[in-house]
Amino acid sequence: MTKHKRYVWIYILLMTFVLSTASLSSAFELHGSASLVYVASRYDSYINYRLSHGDKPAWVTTSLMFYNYSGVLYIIKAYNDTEVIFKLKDEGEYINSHVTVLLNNVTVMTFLPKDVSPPIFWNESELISRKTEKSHDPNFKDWEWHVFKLKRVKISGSYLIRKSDLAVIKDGVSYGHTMLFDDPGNPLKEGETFTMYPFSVTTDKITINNKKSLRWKNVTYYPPTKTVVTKHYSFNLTQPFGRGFPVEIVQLATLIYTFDASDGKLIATPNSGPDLWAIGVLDAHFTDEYAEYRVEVEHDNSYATGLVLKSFRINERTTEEVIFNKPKTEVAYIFYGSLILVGLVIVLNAGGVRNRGKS
Amino acid sequence: MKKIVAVLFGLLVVTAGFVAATQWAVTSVRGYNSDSYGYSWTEIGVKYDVQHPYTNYYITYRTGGGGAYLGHIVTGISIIPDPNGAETIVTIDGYHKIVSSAGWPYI
Repeated sequence: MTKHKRYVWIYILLMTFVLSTASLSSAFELHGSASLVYVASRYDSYINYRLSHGDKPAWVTTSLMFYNYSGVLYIIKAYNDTEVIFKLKDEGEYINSHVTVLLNNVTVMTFLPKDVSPPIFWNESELISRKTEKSHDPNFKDWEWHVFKLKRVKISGSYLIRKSDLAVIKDGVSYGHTMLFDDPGNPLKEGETFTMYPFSVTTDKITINNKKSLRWKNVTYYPPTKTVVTKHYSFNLTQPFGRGFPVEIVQLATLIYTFDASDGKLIATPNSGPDLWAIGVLDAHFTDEYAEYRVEVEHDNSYATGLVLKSFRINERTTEEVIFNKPKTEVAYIFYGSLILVGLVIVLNAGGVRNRGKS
Repeated sequence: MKKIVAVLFGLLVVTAGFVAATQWAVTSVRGYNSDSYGYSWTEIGVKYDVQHPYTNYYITYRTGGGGAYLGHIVTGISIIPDPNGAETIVTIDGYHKIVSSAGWPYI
């Protein structure tokens, strides 16, 4: 074997080591804590645009949610900013995720039998008005509507994300893959099960965009980005008393998530997902009116719309480096290190050959 | 004279009886909305008292639908009830929404 061939073998061995390290270190890691703040903001120019096209003010919301609180389903519409904050904390094999949903200028509605009083999940000092309306449904004559107008509403809850497969776990139930992250070491693929409870939905189309940045106000998410779209599904959300009144009939739905493909964090989504289902938000529709205005009215497609990531913070532990484990970074060090090493050996060897030739 | 009073009284009773008997009528109300992406519609069935159409009525069904125009796709259709009707939210291409509603009293 010539020296040249030996170096080729060394190079192959190094590459094998690099690739095996990559496959072993794909597990998702969070050391310490992190927070993600998502927003669907109100934008008056967008509202005026919609109204000028004949839409009713009641239709223009930043979020529309269906919330199960103490076994009662509520229809919630927010007309001012919606903010969804996820606070993540490392707990060994799991990540504890605490969610806070902040809604401003809100209408909360529910339809209940007259002998059931609606459980209150808001601060009573935020109440602007409340009224009950007679039922006009022939099969629900002994029911009534409750309509609350509120300045602010806060919904909160916690669940776990299992690190090994990024499953959302609440009270022992697995709701499916978290919508917050797509692990770059073990990325979501087409045809995989995405949600598991209350129904199973699989991923359909996955697209990687290597060219386009996504913006939101003064934030820019650089490529590559990855968009995951699930297959269509349908369901009804039913108020669970007696005959059961449907509060949302979903003839067709699709889950759509756009991730930052570099570290896997969710950049934007127009819908909910396992992370919100686990805290009782059973369905949601989000519209960031600022971004929607840029896209629809100004035809600038560089904006991320829906519920958009406003800030992502990682809080460091005192002694350790705290960051989402990006195996690709370590792999890159080994890869480039090995290249430099091979290069050095070749150069030194070539120098040695020249020197031997001179002597 | 007594006979006339009796006949008039009888007529009054019969008229009052007709007035008291509720006469029901049925109709449907349909709302429609569209833009360059697609369209959305909502329909409700209404059974109303002809004498008091806006206070004595029932919503017998709520339905809706929608679609996308060429080059766009529908990603969501949801029908949501409210005290006097319903609204339909059609989502096109993931993010664009077209809403329609139908309600009673119809204005």
